[in-house]
Amino acid sequence: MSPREIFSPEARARAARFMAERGHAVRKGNGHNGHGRTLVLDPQKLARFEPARSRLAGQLAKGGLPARRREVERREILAVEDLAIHFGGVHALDGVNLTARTAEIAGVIGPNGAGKTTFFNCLSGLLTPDRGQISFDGHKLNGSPATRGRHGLGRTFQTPRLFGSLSVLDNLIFGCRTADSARREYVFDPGLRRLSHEERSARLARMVGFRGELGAPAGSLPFGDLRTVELARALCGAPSLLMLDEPASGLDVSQAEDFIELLRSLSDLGLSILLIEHDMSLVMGVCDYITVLDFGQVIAEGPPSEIQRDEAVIEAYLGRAD
Amino acid sequence: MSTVMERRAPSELSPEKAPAGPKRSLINRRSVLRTLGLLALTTFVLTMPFDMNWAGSSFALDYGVIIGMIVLSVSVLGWIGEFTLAVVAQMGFGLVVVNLLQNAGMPFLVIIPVVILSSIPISILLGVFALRLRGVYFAIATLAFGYMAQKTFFQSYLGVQGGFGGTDSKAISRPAGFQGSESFYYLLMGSLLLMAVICWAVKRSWIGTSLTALRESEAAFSVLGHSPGAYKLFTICLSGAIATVAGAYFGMLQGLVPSNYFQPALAVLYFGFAVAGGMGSVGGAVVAGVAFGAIPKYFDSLSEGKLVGYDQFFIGVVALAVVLWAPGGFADIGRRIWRRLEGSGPPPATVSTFEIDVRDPAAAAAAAGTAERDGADV
Repeated sequence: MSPREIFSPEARARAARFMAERGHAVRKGNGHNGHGRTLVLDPQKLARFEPARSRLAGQLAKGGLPARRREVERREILAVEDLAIHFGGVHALDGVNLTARTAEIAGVIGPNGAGKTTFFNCLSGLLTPDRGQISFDGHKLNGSPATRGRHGLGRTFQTPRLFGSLSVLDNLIFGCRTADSARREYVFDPGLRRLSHEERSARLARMVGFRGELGAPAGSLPFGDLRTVELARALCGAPSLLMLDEPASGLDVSQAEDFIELLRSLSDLGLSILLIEHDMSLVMGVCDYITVLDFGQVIAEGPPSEIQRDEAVIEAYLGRAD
Repeated sequence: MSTVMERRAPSELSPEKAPAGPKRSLINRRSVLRTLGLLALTTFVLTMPFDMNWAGSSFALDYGVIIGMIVLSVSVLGWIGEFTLAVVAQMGFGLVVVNLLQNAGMPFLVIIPVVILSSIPISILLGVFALRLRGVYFAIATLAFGYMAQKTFFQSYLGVQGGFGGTDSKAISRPAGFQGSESFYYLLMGSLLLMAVICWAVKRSWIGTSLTALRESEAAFSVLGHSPGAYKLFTICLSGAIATVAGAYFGMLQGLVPSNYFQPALAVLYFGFAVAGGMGSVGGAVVAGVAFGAIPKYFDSLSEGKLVGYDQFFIGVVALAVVLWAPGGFADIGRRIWRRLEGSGPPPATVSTFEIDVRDPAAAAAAAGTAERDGADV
């Protein structure tokens, strides 16, 4: 079952329009160097967006779209202030500030060792920061990782961490059980709540593009499927904010293309997404707002078009020519 | 390993429900074999005290059954990827509680539930260790707890030489109606089977699946909104209750038990039994415990005492052979034999933390979930 089968026609149309607009924006942003320098994006990678964009633009041309985009409430869902943590003498995070809004995709990028995963681990409670405040959905965020998960903070890991000896279905049901016990609604598809765990899991698995056998042991899956199943498992937990740690690494071109489409659709339907990704074309293409970390500090933040031209970002990624 | 996976095999999820011809015959063969196997096992268990009369007194068998309980207790903790060395101390507490309750004139039917309840505070104390410590560190903490209990509480209460030296209380007696050797055996074996059925049911339930998930990746388990602490405490309490009841029965079997029996180092031996049985396996633990407990005692009586002291040698040889050639333990051997009898092909590739540890620590880390991997992402 593809995303088209999951979402209502109206929702799909809204997502299509949104995607098409974003796809256009990506093309405009790429390679535009009126101010001298910009991030060099791989045209081949950017070309990944083209088929999806064209397909969706075609749908737009056929009509049947609602007169206006869905009115999704845009409010601040996550606010991080002055977050800091150190390991021995290394300041992994040093005074990081970040905000994320509902129905938006926020990106966190930075070179290796910049502190991106540490940042995610602090948010999800796997690490305790030395200082700083985290507000989530209007409340101070604290407690164990389990408490945060039940409050709607879902995440995936840089290395997929499925429960290898359990079946794919069992992995997904873990998420569904959390959603039910914490009485959480699926912001991106409220109808899912009415389904049984098995039906819900199957739908979400197909939605993220998993085509394999749900009864298969998760440990036997190829790497790409590990990623998609882990994403489905996080979605099964009905998160309000989904944190994805390099979700596209290991995906092939078509999987990555579908993935971009999926993220956009989810976001347009009200889900907030916080994304760590090394694939710059993907980040620049899907994110509404980007925060750049380097050596644990925020060196730039803003919309993708600004980030691509930011001197500090270019220096962090490409180095300074002496 | 995955209980739920076994229940929902891929074929069961597919629309074709009706089994084909050869599959139907396989199912028939399986049910016949299972019925026969169950009958044979029941007969064996029921007639064991009489079957083994030629080899010695039923004390050996009773002792073996109690060791089976202790090994089951150790093995249960393998569900969360931990091992405890506090089982001997927990046994000791069970024995002391029975003594106190018998002195107070409590009937047997009240004593056992109270013994189970009394195990909970100790288990919670150990659970506090488990929430902060993992692996070897947790094991060392439980060993330290065992030594502290032995050196302080047991020495003063039980005495060093034998009996309840620290008090004027009488020795522990067998419950009314179970004074005879056969009837006491049936009480013990019934209790062991009940414990095994409870453990098996827990392992097959959603709790068991959750424990597997917890063992494989605690980080993923917790960020999904499930509390690792609650599941760990539950498992430690279950394990502790089994060990404490085993201690109560041990007191009833021995009558007088000196404190030096509760040497914490004995727990290492029981851990070895659990590994040889197949860490985490209910059936493997029961078989290994009964075998390693009873057979050396029978050797002693058959050799008229000439082989006394060689029991540890026998245990060592068997345990070494098992971990070298069958890392999955008795459970894995039994599974393979059974599948061959059933004709259902090779067993599925299941992963046990401990069975892989023996040969390939890297694979064990990858399969078990894994502090190394956790650390890599942090």
